[in-house]
Amino acid sequence: MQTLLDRAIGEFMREVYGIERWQDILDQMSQGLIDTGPDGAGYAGAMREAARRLAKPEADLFEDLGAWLARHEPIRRLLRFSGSNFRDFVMRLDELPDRAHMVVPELRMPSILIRQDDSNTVTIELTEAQAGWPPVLGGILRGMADDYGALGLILVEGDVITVRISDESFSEDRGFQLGDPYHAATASR
Amino acid sequence: MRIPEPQISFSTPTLQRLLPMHLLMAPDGEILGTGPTLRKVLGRKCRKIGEVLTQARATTGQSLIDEIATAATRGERLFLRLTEPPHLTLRGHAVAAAGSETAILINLGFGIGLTDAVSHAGLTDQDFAPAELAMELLFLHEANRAALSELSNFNQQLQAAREAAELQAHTDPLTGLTNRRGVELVLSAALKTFRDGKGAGFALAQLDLDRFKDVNDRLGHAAGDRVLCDVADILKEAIRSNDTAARVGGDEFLLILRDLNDAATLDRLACRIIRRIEERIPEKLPGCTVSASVGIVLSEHYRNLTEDRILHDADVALYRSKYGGRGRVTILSEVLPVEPALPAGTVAQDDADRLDRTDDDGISHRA
Repeated sequence: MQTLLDRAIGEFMREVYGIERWQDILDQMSQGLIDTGPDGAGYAGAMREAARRLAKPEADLFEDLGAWLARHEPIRRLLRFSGSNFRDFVMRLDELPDRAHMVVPELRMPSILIRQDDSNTVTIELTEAQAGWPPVLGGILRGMADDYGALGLILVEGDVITVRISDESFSEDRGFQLGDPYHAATASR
Repeated sequence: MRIPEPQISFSTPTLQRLLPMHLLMAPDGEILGTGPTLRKVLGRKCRKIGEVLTQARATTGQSLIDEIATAATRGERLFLRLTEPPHLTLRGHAVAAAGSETAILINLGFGIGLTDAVSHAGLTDQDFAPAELAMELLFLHEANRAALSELSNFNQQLQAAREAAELQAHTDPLTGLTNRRGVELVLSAALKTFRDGKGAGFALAQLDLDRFKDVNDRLGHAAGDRVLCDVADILKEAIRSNDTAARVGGDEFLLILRDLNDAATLDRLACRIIRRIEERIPEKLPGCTVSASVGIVLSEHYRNLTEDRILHDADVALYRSKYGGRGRVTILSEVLPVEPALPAGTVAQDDADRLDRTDDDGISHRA
Protein backbone atom coordinates (compact mmCIF):
# COMPACT_ATOMS: atom_id res chain seq x y z
CA MET A 1 0.00 0.00 0.00
CA GLN A 2 3.06 2.20 0.23
CA THR A 3 2.56 2.11 -3.51
CA LEU A 4 -0.62 4.19 -3.21
CA LEU A 5 1.20 6.83 -1.21
CA ASP A 6 4.19 6.91 -3.54
CA ARG A 7 1.90 7.05 -6.53
CA ALA A 8 0.06 10.03 -5.06
CA ILE A 9 3.33 11.85 -4.37
CA GLY A 10 4.67 10.90 -7.79
CA GLU A 11 1.57 12.14 -9.56
CA PHE A 12 1.59 15.39 -7.60
CA MET A 13 5.27 16.01 -8.30
CA ARG A 14 4.95 15.29 -12.01
CA GLU A 15 2.06 17.72 -12.16
CA VAL A 16 3.54 20.61 -10.21
CA TYR A 17 7.25 20.04 -10.78
CA GLY A 18 7.39 18.53 -14.24
CA ILE A 19 7.80 14.97 -15.48
CA GLU A 20 11.43 15.30 -16.57
CA ARG A 21 12.69 17.16 -13.54
CA TRP A 22 10.99 14.69 -11.21
CA GLN A 23 12.37 11.73 -13.16
CA ASP A 24 15.82 13.29 -12.96
CA ILE A 25 15.64 13.30 -9.16
CA LEU A 26 14.46 9.68 -9.05
CA ASP A 27 17.23 8.63 -11.43
CA GLN A 28 19.89 10.39 -9.39
CA MET A 29 18.48 8.91 -6.20
CA SER A 30 18.54 5.40 -7.61
CA GLN A 31 22.21 5.91 -8.48
CA GLY A 32 22.91 7.06 -4.94
CA LEU A 33 23.87 10.55 -6.11
CA ILE A 34 21.54 12.31 -3.70
CA ASP A 35 21.77 12.17 0.06
CA THR A 36 18.14 11.74 1.07
CA GLY A 37 18.78 11.73 4.79
CA PRO A 38 16.40 10.01 7.19
CA ASP A 39 13.70 9.43 4.56
CA GLY A 40 15.90 7.03 2.65
CA ALA A 41 15.13 6.35 -0.96
CA GLY A 42 11.37 6.96 -0.58
CA TYR A 43 9.43 9.57 -2.45
CA ALA A 44 9.32 11.82 0.62
CA GLY A 45 13.10 12.10 0.34
CA ALA A 46 12.78 12.92 -3.34
CA MET A 47 10.28 15.64 -2.47
CA ARG A 48 12.82 17.20 -0.12
CA GLU A 49 15.36 17.25 -2.92
CA ALA A 50 12.80 18.87 -5.22
CA ALA A 51 12.11 21.54 -2.60
CA ARG A 52 15.85 22.21 -2.35
CA ARG A 53 16.15 22.56 -6.12
CA LEU A 54 13.13 24.86 -6.21
CA ALA A 55 14.64 26.92 -3.37
CA LYS A 56 11.27 26.51 -1.67
CA PRO A 57 10.74 25.58 1.97
CA GLU A 58 10.01 21.84 2.24
CA ALA A 59 6.93 22.57 4.33
CA ASP A 60 5.41 24.62 1.51
CA LEU A 61 5.75 21.73 -0.91
CA PHE A 62 4.23 19.28 1.58
CA GLU A 63 1.39 21.70 2.24
CA ASP A 64 0.72 21.96 -1.50
CA LEU A 65 0.62 18.16 -1.60
CA GLY A 66 -2.04 18.16 1.13
CA ALA A 67 -4.18 20.73 -0.69
CA TRP A 68 -3.71 18.82 -3.97
CA LEU A 69 -4.87 15.57 -2.31
CA ALA A 70 -7.99 17.28 -0.99
CA ARG A 71 -8.85 18.42 -4.53
CA HIS A 72 -8.97 14.85 -5.82
CA GLU A 73 -12.58 13.71 -5.98
CA PRO A 74 -12.19 10.21 -4.50
CA ILE A 75 -10.05 11.55 -1.65
CA ARG A 76 -12.21 14.63 -1.15
CA ARG A 77 -15.26 12.40 -0.84
CA LEU A 78 -13.57 10.15 1.71
CA LEU A 79 -12.57 13.22 3.72
CA ARG A 80 -16.13 14.56 3.60
CA PHE A 81 -17.28 11.46 5.50
CA SER A 82 -15.56 12.99 8.53
CA GLY A 83 -17.99 15.86 9.03
CA SER A 84 -21.09 17.54 7.72
CA ASN A 85 -19.49 21.01 7.90
CA PHE A 86 -15.97 22.38 8.25
CA ARG A 87 -16.20 22.89 12.00
CA ASP A 88 -17.45 19.33 12.41
CA PHE A 89 -14.67 18.14 10.12
CA VAL A 90 -12.01 19.87 12.22
CA MET A 91 -13.47 18.70 15.52
CA ARG A 92 -13.56 15.11 14.33
CA LEU A 93 -10.06 15.08 12.85
CA ASP A 94 -8.98 12.77 15.67
CA GLU A 95 -10.95 10.03 13.85
CA LEU A 96 -8.91 10.56 10.70
CA PRO A 97 -5.90 8.35 11.58
CA ASP A 98 -8.24 5.41 12.30
CA ARG A 99 -10.13 6.00 9.07
CA ALA A 100 -6.91 6.27 7.12
CA HIS A 101 -5.59 3.15 8.82
CA MET A 102 -8.68 1.22 7.69
CA VAL A 103 -7.98 2.12 4.07
CA VAL A 104 -4.18 2.16 3.99
CA PRO A 105 -2.85 0.14 6.94
CA GLU A 106 0.76 1.05 6.17
CA LEU A 107 0.14 4.78 6.14
CA ARG A 108 1.36 5.29 9.75
CA MET A 109 -0.48 8.53 10.14
CA PRO A 110 0.35 10.16 13.49
CA SER A 111 -2.34 10.37 16.18
CA ILE A 112 -4.18 13.64 16.43
CA LEU A 113 -5.26 15.52 19.56
CA ILE A 114 -7.97 18.16 19.22
CA ARG A 115 -8.40 21.04 21.65
CA GLN A 116 -11.01 23.75 21.29
CA ASP A 117 -9.47 26.99 22.54
CA ASP A 118 -12.47 29.23 22.02
CA SER A 119 -15.59 29.08 19.92
CA ASN A 120 -13.67 29.73 16.71
CA THR A 121 -10.19 28.41 17.40
CA VAL A 122 -9.12 24.78 17.40
CA THR A 123 -5.65 23.49 18.11
CA ILE A 124 -4.60 20.26 16.45
CA GLU A 125 -1.58 18.49 17.83
CA LEU A 126 0.11 15.64 16.04
CA THR A 127 2.01 13.17 18.16
CA GLU A 128 5.16 11.41 16.97
CA ALA A 129 4.66 12.82 13.50
CA GLN A 130 7.20 12.24 10.75
CA ALA A 131 8.33 15.60 9.48
CA GLY A 132 6.06 15.83 6.43
CA TRP A 133 2.77 15.18 8.20
CA PRO A 134 1.96 18.53 9.86
CA PRO A 135 2.25 20.55 6.64
CA VAL A 136 0.42 17.85 4.63
CA LEU A 137 -2.46 17.94 7.11
CA GLY A 138 -2.32 21.75 7.05
CA GLY A 139 -2.72 21.60 3.28
CA ILE A 140 -5.59 19.12 3.54
CA LEU A 141 -7.32 21.46 6.01
CA ARG A 142 -6.79 24.39 3.65
CA GLY A 143 -8.26 22.38 0.78
CA MET A 144 -11.22 21.15 2.82
CA ALA A 145 -12.03 24.65 4.12
CA ASP A 146 -12.42 25.64 0.44
CA ASP A 147 -14.45 22.51 -0.19
CA TYR A 148 -16.93 23.25 2.60
CA GLY A 149 -16.98 26.91 1.60
CA ALA A 150 -15.60 28.01 4.95
CA LEU A 151 -13.14 30.82 5.57
CA GLY A 152 -10.45 29.69 7.95
CA LEU A 153 -6.93 30.64 8.93
CA ILE A 154 -4.66 27.63 9.14
CA LEU A 155 -1.29 27.95 10.81
CA VAL A 156 1.28 25.15 10.97
CA GLU A 157 4.02 25.46 13.61
CA GLY A 158 6.06 22.35 14.31
CA ASP A 159 3.64 19.58 15.25
CA VAL A 160 0.82 21.98 16.06
CA ILE A 161 -1.79 23.27 13.64
CA THR A 162 -4.05 26.12 14.66
CA VAL A 163 -7.33 26.55 12.82
CA ARG A 164 -9.31 29.77 13.19
CA ILE A 165 -12.71 29.60 11.55
CA SER A 166 -13.88 33.10 10.74
CA ASP A 167 -16.79 32.35 8.46
CA GLU A 168 -18.54 28.99 8.18
CA SER A 169 -20.32 29.81 4.96
CA PHE A 170 -18.00 32.18 3.22
CA SER A 171 -18.39 30.71 -0.25
CA GLU A 172 -20.30 27.95 -1.94
CA ASP A 173 -20.01 24.45 -0.54
CA ARG A 174 -18.87 22.02 -3.21
CA GLY A 175 -21.43 19.59 -1.86
CA PHE A 176 -21.37 15.98 -0.85
CA GLN A 177 -23.98 13.32 -1.30
CA LEU A 178 -23.83 9.89 0.21
CA GLY A 179 -24.31 6.93 -2.03
CA ASP A 180 -22.17 5.21 -4.53
CA PRO A 181 -20.52 7.91 -6.67
CA TYR A 182 -19.75 5.25 -9.27
CA HIS A 183 -23.45 4.55 -9.70
CA ALA A 184 -24.91 7.89 -8.63
CA ALA A 185 -25.57 8.93 -12.19
CA THR A 186 -27.81 5.96 -12.86
CA ALA A 187 -29.44 5.60 -9.45
CA SER A 188 -33.17 6.06 -9.50
CA ARG A 189 -34.74 8.62 -7.31
CA MET B 1 -36.76 -8.46 47.74
CA ARG B 2 -37.66 -8.23 44.10
CA ILE B 3 -37.10 -4.96 42.29
CA PRO B 4 -39.98 -4.31 39.91
CA GLU B 5 -39.06 -4.12 36.22
CA PRO B 6 -38.95 -0.50 35.11
CA GLN B 7 -41.71 0.49 32.76
CA ILE B 8 -40.24 2.68 30.04
CA SER B 9 -42.33 4.82 27.81
CA PHE B 10 -41.14 7.16 25.10
CA SER B 11 -42.68 10.26 23.68
CA THR B 12 -43.02 10.21 19.88
CA PRO B 13 -40.13 12.70 19.31
CA THR B 14 -37.86 10.61 21.54
CA LEU B 15 -38.79 7.44 19.67
CA GLN B 16 -38.10 9.17 16.37
CA ARG B 17 -34.67 10.29 17.52
CA LEU B 18 -33.77 6.95 18.99
CA LEU B 19 -35.10 4.77 16.18
CA PRO B 20 -35.20 6.78 12.95
CA MET B 21 -36.09 3.61 11.01
CA HIS B 22 -39.03 2.44 13.14
CA LEU B 23 -42.65 1.82 12.23
CA LEU B 24 -45.45 1.62 14.79
CA MET B 25 -48.30 -0.56 13.57
CA ALA B 26 -51.84 -1.22 14.82
CA PRO B 27 -53.10 -4.85 14.71
CA ASP B 28 -55.07 -4.17 11.54
CA GLY B 29 -51.93 -2.90 9.78
CA GLU B 30 -52.67 0.77 10.19
CA ILE B 31 -49.50 2.82 10.44
CA LEU B 32 -49.52 4.75 13.70
CA GLY B 33 -46.11 6.37 13.28
CA THR B 34 -42.80 6.13 11.40
CA GLY B 35 -39.26 7.30 12.06
CA PRO B 36 -37.99 10.18 9.87
CA THR B 37 -35.48 8.08 7.91
CA LEU B 38 -37.96 5.31 7.14
CA ARG B 39 -40.39 8.00 5.96
CA LYS B 40 -37.76 9.18 3.46
CA VAL B 41 -37.18 5.64 2.28
CA LEU B 42 -40.91 4.86 1.88
CA GLY B 43 -41.17 8.08 -0.07
CA ARG B 44 -44.87 8.81 0.44
CA LYS B 45 -47.52 9.09 3.07
CA CYS B 46 -49.65 6.04 3.54
CA ARG B 47 -52.19 4.65 5.94
CA LYS B 48 -51.72 0.90 5.82
CA ILE B 49 -48.44 -1.02 5.98
CA GLY B 50 -49.49 -3.24 3.05
CA GLU B 51 -49.50 -0.22 0.73
CA VAL B 52 -45.73 0.24 1.03
CA LEU B 53 -44.21 -3.01 2.29
CA THR B 54 -44.58 -6.64 1.39
CA GLN B 55 -42.99 -9.89 2.58
CA ALA B 56 -39.51 -10.30 1.08
CA ARG B 57 -39.56 -14.04 1.65
CA ALA B 58 -42.67 -15.93 0.69
CA THR B 59 -42.58 -18.80 3.13
CA THR B 60 -45.48 -19.50 5.42
CA GLY B 61 -48.41 -18.35 3.35
CA GLN B 62 -49.27 -16.02 6.20
CA SER B 63 -50.51 -12.51 5.51
CA LEU B 64 -48.05 -9.68 6.01
CA ILE B 65 -49.71 -8.56 9.22
CA ASP B 66 -49.86 -12.09 10.65
CA GLU B 67 -46.22 -12.64 9.80
CA ILE B 68 -45.20 -9.47 11.62
CA ALA B 69 -47.27 -10.50 14.64
CA THR B 70 -45.70 -13.98 14.63
CA ALA B 71 -42.21 -12.52 14.34
CA ALA B 72 -42.96 -10.26 17.30
CA THR B 73 -44.14 -13.19 19.43
CA ARG B 74 -41.33 -15.54 18.50
CA GLY B 75 -38.54 -12.98 18.33
CA GLU B 76 -37.76 -13.83 14.68
CA ARG B 77 -36.15 -11.64 12.08
CA LEU B 78 -38.35 -9.83 9.59
CA PHE B 79 -37.54 -9.27 5.93
CA LEU B 80 -39.75 -6.69 4.22
CA ARG B 81 -39.58 -5.28 0.72
CA LEU B 82 -40.74 -1.96 -0.69
CA THR B 83 -43.72 -2.47 -2.97
CA GLU B 84 -42.38 0.14 -5.38
CA PRO B 85 -39.12 0.31 -7.28
CA PRO B 86 -36.31 -0.13 -6.50
CA HIS B 87 -37.94 -2.75 -4.23
CA LEU B 88 -35.34 -2.40 -1.48
CA THR B 89 -35.28 -5.14 1.09
CA LEU B 90 -35.29 -4.00 4.70
CA ARG B 91 -34.63 -6.27 7.61
CA GLY B 92 -35.35 -5.92 11.28
CA HIS B 93 -37.43 -7.18 14.11
CA ALA B 94 -40.75 -6.48 15.75
CA VAL B 95 -41.80 -6.22 19.39
CA ALA B 96 -45.03 -5.58 21.19
CA ALA B 97 -45.04 -1.90 22.03
CA ALA B 98 -44.77 -1.22 25.78
CA GLY B 99 -47.85 0.30 27.31
CA SER B 100 -49.98 -1.04 24.52
CA GLU B 101 -51.77 -4.39 24.37
CA THR B 102 -51.96 -4.50 20.64
CA ALA B 103 -49.58 -2.12 18.78
CA ILE B 104 -46.38 -3.57 17.33
CA LEU B 105 -43.11 -1.65 17.08
CA ILE B 106 -40.95 -2.61 14.09
CA ASN B 107 -37.36 -1.44 13.74
CA LEU B 108 -35.75 -1.81 10.34
CA GLY B 109 -32.34 -1.52 8.79
CA PHE B 110 -30.74 -1.75 5.33
CA GLY B 111 -28.19 -4.52 5.67
CA ILE B 112 -25.89 -4.93 2.73
CA GLY B 113 -28.23 -2.96 0.44
CA LEU B 114 -27.24 0.21 2.29
CA THR B 115 -25.56 1.90 -0.65
CA ASP B 116 -28.57 1.49 -2.92
CA ALA B 117 -30.90 2.69 -0.19
CA VAL B 118 -28.79 5.78 0.41
CA SER B 119 -28.79 6.62 -3.30
CA HIS B 120 -32.50 5.92 -3.63
CA ALA B 121 -33.64 8.00 -0.67
CA GLY B 122 -30.89 10.63 -0.77
CA LEU B 123 -29.92 9.95 2.82
CA THR B 124 -27.29 11.93 4.73
CA ASP B 125 -25.30 11.20 7.86
CA GLN B 126 -28.06 12.97 9.84
CA ASP B 127 -30.46 10.19 8.88
CA PHE B 128 -28.58 7.54 10.81
CA ALA B 129 -28.55 7.11 14.56
CA PRO B 130 -25.07 7.87 15.93
CA ALA B 131 -24.65 4.31 17.15
CA GLU B 132 -25.16 2.89 13.67
CA LEU B 133 -22.20 1.87 11.57
CA ALA B 134 -23.86 2.92 8.32
CA MET B 135 -21.47 5.83 7.73
CA GLU B 136 -18.46 3.63 8.37
CA LEU B 137 -19.78 1.02 5.96
CA LEU B 138 -20.34 3.64 3.27
CA PHE B 139 -16.90 5.10 3.91
CA LEU B 140 -15.24 1.71 3.63
CA HIS B 141 -17.19 0.84 0.53
CA GLU B 142 -16.03 4.01 -1.16
CA ALA B 143 -12.46 3.76 0.11
CA ASN B 144 -12.30 0.22 -1.15
CA ARG B 145 -13.51 1.22 -4.58
CA ALA B 146 -11.06 4.13 -4.78
CA ALA B 147 -8.11 2.02 -3.65
CA LEU B 148 -9.01 -0.81 -6.00
CA SER B 149 -9.35 1.42 -9.01
CA GLU B 150 -6.03 3.09 -8.19
CA LEU B 151 -4.36 -0.29 -7.78
CA SER B 152 -5.84 -1.56 -11.01
CA ASN B 153 -4.38 1.46 -12.83
CA PHE B 154 -1.09 0.65 -11.19
CA ASN B 155 -1.28 -2.99 -12.24
CA GLN B 156 -1.98 -2.00 -15.82
CA GLN B 157 1.09 0.23 -15.81
CA LEU B 158 3.16 -2.56 -14.30
CA GLN B 159 1.93 -4.94 -16.96
CA ALA B 160 2.90 -2.50 -19.72
CA ALA B 161 6.33 -1.97 -18.15
CA ARG B 162 6.81 -5.72 -17.84
CA GLU B 163 5.94 -6.27 -21.49
CA ALA B 164 8.33 -3.51 -22.54
CA ALA B 165 11.09 -5.00 -20.39
CA GLU B 166 10.46 -8.44 -21.82
CA LEU B 167 10.66 -7.10 -25.35
CA GLN B 168 13.90 -5.29 -24.49
CA ALA B 169 15.31 -8.47 -22.97
CA HIS B 170 14.83 -10.23 -26.29
CA THR B 171 16.02 -7.40 -28.48
CA ASP B 172 19.49 -6.39 -29.54
CA PRO B 173 19.71 -2.74 -28.50
CA LEU B 174 21.95 -1.70 -31.42
CA THR B 175 20.01 -3.09 -34.35
CA GLY B 176 16.57 -3.76 -32.91
CA LEU B 177 16.82 -7.35 -34.15
CA THR B 178 16.09 -10.29 -31.88
CA ASN B 179 19.03 -11.16 -29.61
CA ARG B 180 20.44 -14.56 -28.65
CA ARG B 181 17.89 -15.05 -25.84
CA GLY B 182 15.11 -14.23 -28.27
CA VAL B 183 16.52 -16.71 -30.77
CA GLU B 184 16.35 -19.49 -28.18
CA LEU B 185 12.63 -18.83 -27.75
CA VAL B 186 11.88 -18.56 -31.45
CA LEU B 187 13.98 -21.60 -32.29
CA SER B 188 12.45 -23.78 -29.58
CA ALA B 189 8.98 -22.76 -30.81
CA ALA B 190 9.96 -23.63 -34.39
CA LEU B 191 11.40 -26.97 -33.25
CA LYS B 192 8.23 -27.78 -31.34
CA THR B 193 6.10 -27.08 -34.41
CA PHE B 194 8.49 -29.26 -36.41
CA ARG B 195 8.45 -32.15 -33.93
CA ASP B 196 4.66 -32.00 -33.69
CA GLY B 197 4.63 -32.57 -37.42
CA LYS B 198 2.98 -29.25 -38.11
CA GLY B 199 4.11 -26.86 -40.82
CA ALA B 200 6.38 -27.53 -43.74
CA GLY B 201 9.65 -27.36 -41.78
CA PHE B 202 11.89 -24.38 -41.37
CA ALA B 203 15.31 -23.18 -42.43
CA LEU B 204 18.02 -21.74 -40.25
CA ALA B 205 20.48 -19.39 -41.97
CA GLN B 206 23.61 -18.19 -40.27
CA LEU B 207 25.22 -15.10 -41.75
CA ASP B 208 28.62 -13.72 -40.92
CA LEU B 209 30.05 -10.51 -42.36
CA ASP B 210 33.30 -10.77 -44.34
CA ARG B 211 36.11 -8.29 -43.68
CA PHE B 212 34.02 -6.52 -41.09
CA LYS B 213 37.11 -6.25 -38.93
CA ASP B 214 38.59 -3.87 -41.55
CA VAL B 215 35.73 -1.45 -41.05
CA ASN B 216 36.22 -1.39 -37.31
CA ASP B 217 40.00 -1.11 -37.61
CA ARG B 218 40.12 1.55 -40.30
CA LEU B 219 37.00 3.58 -39.72
CA GLY B 220 36.29 3.04 -36.03
CA HIS B 221 33.55 1.32 -34.08
CA ALA B 222 30.90 3.94 -34.83
CA ALA B 223 31.27 3.15 -38.55
CA GLY B 224 31.18 -0.56 -37.69
CA ASP B 225 27.95 -0.05 -35.77
CA ARG B 226 26.46 1.73 -38.77
CA VAL B 227 27.32 -1.24 -40.99
CA LEU B 228 25.64 -3.60 -38.52
CA CYS B 229 22.50 -1.45 -38.55
CA ASP B 230 22.52 -1.39 -42.36
CA VAL B 231 22.80 -5.16 -42.47
CA ALA B 232 19.94 -5.42 -39.97
CA ASP B 233 17.80 -3.25 -42.28
CA ILE B 234 18.68 -5.41 -45.28
CA LEU B 235 17.72 -8.57 -43.37
CA LYS B 236 14.45 -7.06 -42.17
CA GLU B 237 13.56 -6.10 -45.73
CA ALA B 238 14.45 -9.52 -47.09
CA ILE B 239 12.39 -11.70 -44.77
CA ARG B 240 8.66 -12.22 -44.37
CA SER B 241 6.72 -10.95 -41.38
CA ASN B 242 6.64 -14.28 -39.53
CA ASP B 243 10.34 -14.95 -40.05
CA THR B 244 12.91 -13.87 -37.49
CA ALA B 245 16.15 -11.98 -38.01
CA ALA B 246 18.55 -11.94 -35.09
CA ARG B 247 21.97 -10.61 -34.22
CA VAL B 248 23.68 -13.22 -32.07
CA GLY B 249 27.23 -11.92 -31.84
CA GLY B 250 29.47 -9.11 -33.06
CA ASP B 251 28.85 -9.50 -36.80
CA GLU B 252 26.95 -12.78 -36.66
CA PHE B 253 23.31 -12.93 -37.69
CA LEU B 254 20.69 -15.66 -37.77
CA LEU B 255 17.56 -16.00 -39.83
CA ILE B 256 14.80 -18.39 -38.86
CA LEU B 257 12.61 -18.87 -41.92
CA ARG B 258 9.35 -20.66 -41.29
CA ASP B 259 7.68 -23.06 -43.68
CA LEU B 260 10.54 -22.77 -46.12
CA ASN B 261 12.32 -25.92 -47.29
CA ASP B 262 13.06 -25.22 -50.93
CA ALA B 263 16.82 -25.00 -51.46
CA ALA B 264 16.52 -22.94 -54.65
CA THR B 265 14.34 -20.31 -52.97
CA LEU B 266 16.69 -20.15 -50.00
CA ASP B 267 19.65 -19.82 -52.30
CA ARG B 268 18.05 -16.89 -54.13
CA LEU B 269 17.13 -15.23 -50.86
CA ALA B 270 20.65 -15.57 -49.44
CA CYS B 271 22.28 -14.37 -52.67
CA ARG B 272 20.01 -11.35 -52.72
CA ILE B 273 21.00 -10.50 -49.16
CA ILE B 274 24.72 -10.86 -49.93
CA ARG B 275 24.39 -8.72 -53.03
CA ARG B 276 22.59 -5.97 -51.16
CA ILE B 277 25.18 -5.97 -48.41
CA GLU B 278 27.95 -5.70 -51.01
CA GLU B 279 26.15 -2.92 -52.88
CA ARG B 280 25.08 -0.90 -49.93
CA ILE B 281 28.17 -0.83 -47.81
CA PRO B 282 30.91 0.48 -50.14
CA GLU B 283 28.97 3.66 -50.94
CA LYS B 284 29.14 4.67 -47.34
CA LEU B 285 32.57 3.32 -46.57
CA PRO B 286 35.12 4.08 -49.27
CA GLY B 287 37.95 1.60 -49.40
CA CYS B 288 36.19 -1.11 -47.51
CA THR B 289 34.60 -4.06 -49.20
CA VAL B 290 32.22 -5.79 -46.86
CA SER B 291 30.42 -8.94 -47.88
CA ALA B 292 28.77 -11.85 -46.10
CA SER B 293 28.99 -15.61 -45.93
CA VAL B 294 25.90 -17.69 -45.32
CA GLY B 295 25.30 -21.22 -44.15
CA ILE B 296 21.84 -22.74 -44.27
CA VAL B 297 20.33 -25.85 -42.71
CA LEU B 298 16.89 -27.30 -43.43
CA SER B 299 14.91 -28.94 -40.66
CA GLU B 300 13.42 -31.51 -43.03
CA HIS B 301 16.75 -33.34 -43.26
CA TYR B 302 16.58 -34.36 -39.60
CA ARG B 303 14.59 -36.87 -37.66
CA ASN B 304 15.59 -35.91 -34.11
CA LEU B 305 16.46 -32.30 -34.24
CA THR B 306 17.78 -30.33 -31.26
CA GLU B 307 18.64 -26.67 -30.97
CA ASP B 308 22.33 -27.40 -30.41
CA ARG B 309 22.44 -29.68 -33.42
CA ILE B 310 20.86 -27.30 -35.88
CA LEU B 311 22.93 -24.35 -34.63
CA HIS B 312 26.10 -26.40 -34.90
CA ASP B 313 25.30 -27.58 -38.40
CA ALA B 314 24.47 -24.06 -39.54
CA ASP B 315 27.86 -23.06 -38.18
CA VAL B 316 29.50 -25.80 -40.22
CA ALA B 317 27.66 -24.68 -43.36
CA LEU B 318 28.78 -21.11 -42.73
CA TYR B 319 32.42 -22.06 -42.44
CA ARG B 320 32.21 -24.07 -45.63
CA SER B 321 31.16 -20.78 -47.26
CA LYS B 322 34.07 -18.99 -45.58
CA TYR B 323 36.56 -21.62 -46.70
CA GLY B 324 34.96 -21.72 -50.11
CA GLY B 325 35.95 -18.13 -50.69
CA ARG B 326 33.43 -15.97 -48.75
CA GLY B 327 30.56 -14.00 -50.19
CA ARG B 328 28.74 -17.24 -50.85
CA VAL B 329 25.98 -19.50 -49.64
CA THR B 330 26.22 -23.09 -48.44
CA ILE B 331 23.07 -25.10 -48.04
CA LEU B 332 23.59 -28.44 -46.32
CA SER B 333 21.75 -31.05 -48.36
CA GLU B 334 22.36 -33.97 -46.03
CA VAL B 335 22.65 -34.65 -42.36
CA LEU B 336 26.18 -34.31 -41.04
CA PRO B 337 27.65 -37.17 -39.04
CA VAL B 338 26.83 -36.79 -35.37
CA GLU B 339 30.52 -36.46 -34.53
CA PRO B 340 31.12 -33.09 -36.09
CA ALA B 341 33.74 -33.16 -38.78
CA LEU B 342 34.48 -29.51 -38.17
CA PRO B 343 33.73 -28.48 -34.61
CA ALA B 344 32.48 -24.95 -34.14
CA GLY B 345 35.18 -22.45 -33.35
CA THR B 346 38.02 -24.33 -35.01
CA VAL B 347 38.19 -21.71 -37.69
CA ALA B 348 39.65 -18.62 -36.11
CA GLN B 349 38.46 -15.30 -37.43
CA ASP B 350 41.97 -14.39 -38.59
CA ASP B 351 42.28 -17.60 -40.58
CA ALA B 352 38.97 -17.01 -42.21
CA ASP B 353 39.90 -13.43 -43.04
CA ARG B 354 43.14 -14.54 -44.64
CA LEU B 355 41.28 -16.70 -47.11
CA ASP B 356 40.84 -15.08 -50.44
CA ARG B 357 37.70 -15.01 -52.41
CA THR B 358 38.35 -17.19 -55.39
CA ASP B 359 35.09 -17.46 -57.17
CA ASP B 360 33.58 -14.09 -57.95
CA ASP B 361 30.31 -15.09 -59.50
CA GLY B 362 29.91 -18.45 -57.84
CA ILE B 363 28.31 -17.10 -54.74
CA SER B 364 26.34 -20.26 -54.40
CA HIS B 365 28.06 -23.43 -53.45
CA ARG B 366 26.34 -26.62 -52.53
CA ALA B 367 28.08 -28.91 -50.12
